[in-house]
Amino acid sequence: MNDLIYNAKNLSKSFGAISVLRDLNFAAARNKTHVIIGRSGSGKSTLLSLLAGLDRPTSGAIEFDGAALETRCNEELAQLRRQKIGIIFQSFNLLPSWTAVENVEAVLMHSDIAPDARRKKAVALLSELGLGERLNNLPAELSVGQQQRVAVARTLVNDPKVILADEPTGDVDPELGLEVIKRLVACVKNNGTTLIIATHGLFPLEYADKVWELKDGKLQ
Amino acid sequence: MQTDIWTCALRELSRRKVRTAATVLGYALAAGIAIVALSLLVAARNKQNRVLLNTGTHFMAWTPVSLNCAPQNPALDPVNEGFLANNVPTVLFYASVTNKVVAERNCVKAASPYLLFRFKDPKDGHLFTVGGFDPRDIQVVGNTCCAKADLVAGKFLEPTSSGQVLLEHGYAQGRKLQVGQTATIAGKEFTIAGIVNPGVRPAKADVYMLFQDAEAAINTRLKKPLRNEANVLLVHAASSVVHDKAIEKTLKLLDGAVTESCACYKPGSIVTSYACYKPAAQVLGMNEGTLKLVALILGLGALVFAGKSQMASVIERRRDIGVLKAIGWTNQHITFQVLTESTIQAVIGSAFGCIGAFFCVSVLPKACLFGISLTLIGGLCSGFVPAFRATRQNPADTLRRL
Repeated sequence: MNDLIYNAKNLSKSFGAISVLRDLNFAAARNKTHVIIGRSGSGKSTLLSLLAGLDRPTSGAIEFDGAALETRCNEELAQLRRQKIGIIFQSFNLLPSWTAVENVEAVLMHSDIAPDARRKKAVALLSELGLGERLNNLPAELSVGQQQRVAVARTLVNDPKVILADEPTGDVDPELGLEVIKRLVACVKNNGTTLIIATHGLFPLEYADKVWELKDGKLQ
Repeated sequence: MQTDIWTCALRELSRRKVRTAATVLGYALAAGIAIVALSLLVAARNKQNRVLLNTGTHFMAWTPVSLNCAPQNPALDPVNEGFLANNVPTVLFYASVTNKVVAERNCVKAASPYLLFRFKDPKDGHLFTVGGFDPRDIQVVGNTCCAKADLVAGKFLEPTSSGQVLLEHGYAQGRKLQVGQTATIAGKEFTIAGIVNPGVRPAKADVYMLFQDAEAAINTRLKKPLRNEANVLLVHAASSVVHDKAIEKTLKLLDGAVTESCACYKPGSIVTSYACYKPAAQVLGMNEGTLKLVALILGLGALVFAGKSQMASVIERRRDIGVLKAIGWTNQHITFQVLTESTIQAVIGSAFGCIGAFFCVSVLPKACLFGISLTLIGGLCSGFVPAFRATRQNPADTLRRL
């Protein structure tokens, strides 16, 4: 098996006349924590979108788990995200009309897992994250920290091969941010997951296996 | 997958109560309007048809003599005497055509040959018209010339009333004639059996008698005797609905029955009395058309309202759809969910519309079926557009704009 979970070559992404990524090369080893730092607007979120298959590069190639990513159709990419990729958004992006447990369960919907089994899995994960009493609360009824934990649970519930986290600590206090990072890093160690974090803030480097800086559309 | 879609659709609808209620209301209005309008239309048409079908209409058909054309069988005194209808000289046709006209059962209820001739009284020179009819065809005769109900005095003519006449009320008064007296016509005395006041019937005459009596009296005033001929055909259409068809058929048949001796006759010159059923039918049709138009506008308006509400609900959830796509939901999942939501709302809306319609009018089952079908189709169409838009949505773009 290839050691690299991601291998992106000559990746470019432009929005009209604005070139965000320029001939970027990125290789991410499995079971490691990769941190991409860069200023706001440097293209971190764009890079994660490309890695998640949410967007397509203007040019270049992305290999994920040994297979080309950019040539797959939308349905295949959706299936890949459902099965192998977990995403944590900067503002959590929880579904406002769905309860905490339903938000976590959403990832397992349209899969072969029986409704009862996936409910149990979601409940177990949320309980583990200290939200056992908040299962049926809507996101608006949860604190920011609790919302973030629901977002983490949603990311982990399908046992992804890779977790893409876009500013996971951006909207919470440093203490809570550190707790989230610890949990994600633990996931890397315990479950053999690869973690790719994009952040513009300070990151406790002791948790990172590799740190990249995104500048002028290229990783350094 | 189906269970998940139902679960999620019901969850979305139950948690966005105002939006759902607005959309359901739109569908309910659309279904209700469609059901009420169709029920009213069908009921109105049924009643209209019942009235029209039971309202036999009548007319008379004749062929005027062309200008500068000598009558085919001129009277002895052609200046004063002759065949006429509506005060116009007419040509003759074979009375046997009546059987052919009557055979058109789908549009003709009855038909009868009629002789209408103007005589000049040799004693005082006054002119009067004689109508000869067959009292066995009382239905058509009654509607076009005179009926038993028109009797002012005496009795009506029977098939056995040879030698008897009926006098028109005004004529009898003018001539100071009464029931039981005699009237001399073409040199022969007839007993006055009755006096009638037929009003404005198209084949009105001053004197009425049996067809064969009229034929015999007229023959005395012609150069050649009649050969089972008549100059007017009285027709009773099967119903108002087929009145036009009855006229058309009669004209066609009568065209081929005009006596050969008429050299001036040009095919297609037969005329009929005024089709008075038309204005009523047109008014009824106009009302029906207006109701249809109003129902269509209101129904479409309600459907558009529901569709817009459905569209707005998808636009409102643009971010949610982007998130669902990001966590692995496919376009198919999203499409099915939006369509399921739309269908559920349309079903509930049409059910409410149906119930509401029951309170307004006597709902016909087929109107109900139509309303429900229309709403469901509308619901699917309304759902399809936002579903399609949702699938076109790029999750990265959506999330980037948040």
